[in-house]
This record gives sequence, structure tokens and C-alpha cells, in this order.
Amino acid sequence: MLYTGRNMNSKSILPESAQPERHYSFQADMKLNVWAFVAVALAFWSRILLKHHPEWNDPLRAAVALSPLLPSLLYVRSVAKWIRGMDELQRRIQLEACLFATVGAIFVVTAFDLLKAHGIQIPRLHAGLGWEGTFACVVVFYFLGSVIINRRYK
Amino acid sequence: MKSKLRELREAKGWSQSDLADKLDVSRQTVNAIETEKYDPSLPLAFKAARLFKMSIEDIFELDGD
Repeated sequence: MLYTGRNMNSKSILPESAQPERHYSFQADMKLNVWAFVAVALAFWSRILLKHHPEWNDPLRAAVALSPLLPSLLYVRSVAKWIRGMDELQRRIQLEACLFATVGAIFVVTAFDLLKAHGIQIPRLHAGLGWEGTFACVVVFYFLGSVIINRRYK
Repeated sequence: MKSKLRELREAKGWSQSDLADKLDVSRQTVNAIETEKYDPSLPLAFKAARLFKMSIEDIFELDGD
């Protein structure tokens, strides 16, 4: 089972049988993930802007190109805060899932680089995974890791 | 690590959720400790020992001891 920010950090004092069924909360997930959405939106926006304004000077281009980094840092901060507020077993599960995601993403990125280095082109990905591809890899491996590790402690 | 948490909890007539609330952890944590899939942290072991008015060694036992 994958947990949202809400149901991992809030423990009801009612016995489980008396608790209402827990539902996905868009608001709770947005509170946690809003900076990730802002970072992705800024990444696309900056790419479009830089493509259509090649006349801009380098400092301005650099500022626009690096604009997704600040919300990314804020996202890391909100995830760290979320993990700190967890129960100790959930904290272990999430940290193991993060490790799984990191190792998985490094593995895939390295595999792409090795193929590229040896001149083997993958259709539609000949330029490599890029920022978005790497991020997608981390997300996929994180969810996969969460499911596998959660199952171990069931 | 072997744990007597289940026996102690059942002796008190508590559900896993009751114990989880008293220890301020999730029910999944209590279940994982009882089924010996997860070793509790030292603060949690102290909390459990205080709750049952026992020593940590009376509740938890290292494998091979």
C-alpha cells in the first residue's frame, strides 16, 4: 500500500475499527508535492522560453535555465519534514524506498550512457534520458521500492 | 530479535491498535515487531518496557542469547 502524506503522519486516537475508511486526500498530497509540480512546470516553461528567445544574454538565460532548482530544493525540504514526522517503521520504509529509487535511477542512467558511449542508439532517446527522464526513473523506482519494502513488513 | 509483545498485549486485552496508540506508533509497526520482522528502536523499546512496567530484556531477547 502506498501512503499519502496525510495518512502517514496523522494517527487517530480512535481504535481502527471505529475509524472512518481512509481515502486519498488530494489536498494532503498537494501540500507535500506542490514544489515538485512547480519545479516540473518551471522546467518546461524555461525550456520553451529559452528556445524562443535565443537573443537573451547569458546571465538571464542562466537564471531562467536554473529556475527549477529553487522549487526542487523546497520540495526536498518538504519531503524531509514529511519523513521526520513519520512513525519509525514508516521512516525506514521510505528511506529504503528512496535508496532503491536512487540506485535504480543511477543504474538506468549509467546503462543509457554506456549504450550511448558505444554508439548504440535507442529510438527517440538518442540524446539520453535528460532531466525529465531521470526524474521519471526516480519516481517509478520509488513507487516500486515502496511497494516491495512495504510488503516485507506486512 | 524475539519479542514477548504479543503475549503481554493479549494479557492486557489490548488490540494492536490500542498498543500502537499507547506507544505512539502505527499498527503496522506493532504488527512488524510482534511478527519479528522489525526490531524496535531503543526509545521505542524503553517506551514498551515502561508501559508494561518491565525491563527491556524481559520483553525483547536477542536471537542466540
